[in-house]
Amino acid sequence: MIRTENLAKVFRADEVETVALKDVNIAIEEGEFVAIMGPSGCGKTTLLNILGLLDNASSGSYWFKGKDVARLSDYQRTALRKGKIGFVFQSFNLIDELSVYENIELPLVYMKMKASERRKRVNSALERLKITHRRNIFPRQLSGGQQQRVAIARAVVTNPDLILADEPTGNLDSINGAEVMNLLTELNSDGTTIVMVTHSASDADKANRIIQLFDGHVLTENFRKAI
Amino acid sequence: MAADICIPIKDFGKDKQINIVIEYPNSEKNDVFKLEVFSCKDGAENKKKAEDVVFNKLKFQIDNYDRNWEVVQVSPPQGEENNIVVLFRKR
Repeated sequence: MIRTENLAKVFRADEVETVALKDVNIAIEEGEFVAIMGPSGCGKTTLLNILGLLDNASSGSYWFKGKDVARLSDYQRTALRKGKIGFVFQSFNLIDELSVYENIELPLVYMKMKASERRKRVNSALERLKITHRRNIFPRQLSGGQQQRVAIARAVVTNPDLILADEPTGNLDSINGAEVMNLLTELNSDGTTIVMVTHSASDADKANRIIQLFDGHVLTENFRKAI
Repeated sequence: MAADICIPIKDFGKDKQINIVIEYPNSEKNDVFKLEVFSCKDGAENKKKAEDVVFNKLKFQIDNYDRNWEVVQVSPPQGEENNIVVLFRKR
């Protein structure tokens, strides 16, 4: 599903150049659950943003589902991302003014899906994440764990091929964190490919494979269990 | 439910190695962890080159480490010696 070759990312501000990623060569197969770990500032989120087509690499190659996507324009990246990639963030990134239902529906609206199909998909996501009873309330009325559950429902409502999670348990207590990890594990068991950035060794243990980054390079890859 | 815990360790520094055994009361299988410090002093004059030297030194040491141990966590470089603490787990 994902293959990178000598991927690099350099950030330039005035005369300062920061190399965030260098010579990153990774391959992720469909159905895998991959955790990316490493010290703060090692390039984990930068890599996730490039894999999720939120940003372009500075050099190197990136193939997503067999298509060379390394040098796409913003418009092309957005078009490719829609419906294919779901995101889960540490800070949930829900829209406060929208209800739970409307937050989950939003990606389908951007996809210009018909209202009847949207209703079916949102109801199914609400049921899958066991939050149907919270459909009409607003994010601020929910606990952190419940908000992340809504964020995961929003990520899965388009039936994406890939879910990218950036520190999904980072703002949660251990019980809610474990619950979110169980949800991600279930989604992976159902066939969704998951790539997750984490600082938590116990969260990473849920993955099939752990990639350790250091100073923008891949340091090690540990295969923990078969898909 | 797995959990990450924080254990205070006295006088841990360069050239030291610490073993941590997690015993589960109702299981015969323990988890064995090892903390080790690698010195990755760069000696390079410019920052970009220094980062590469540190990475290459660390990678060489980990690639040539006992295969019975897997990397769990890596710290950022610390101090003038660029000491990097690596937590291993016995496979």
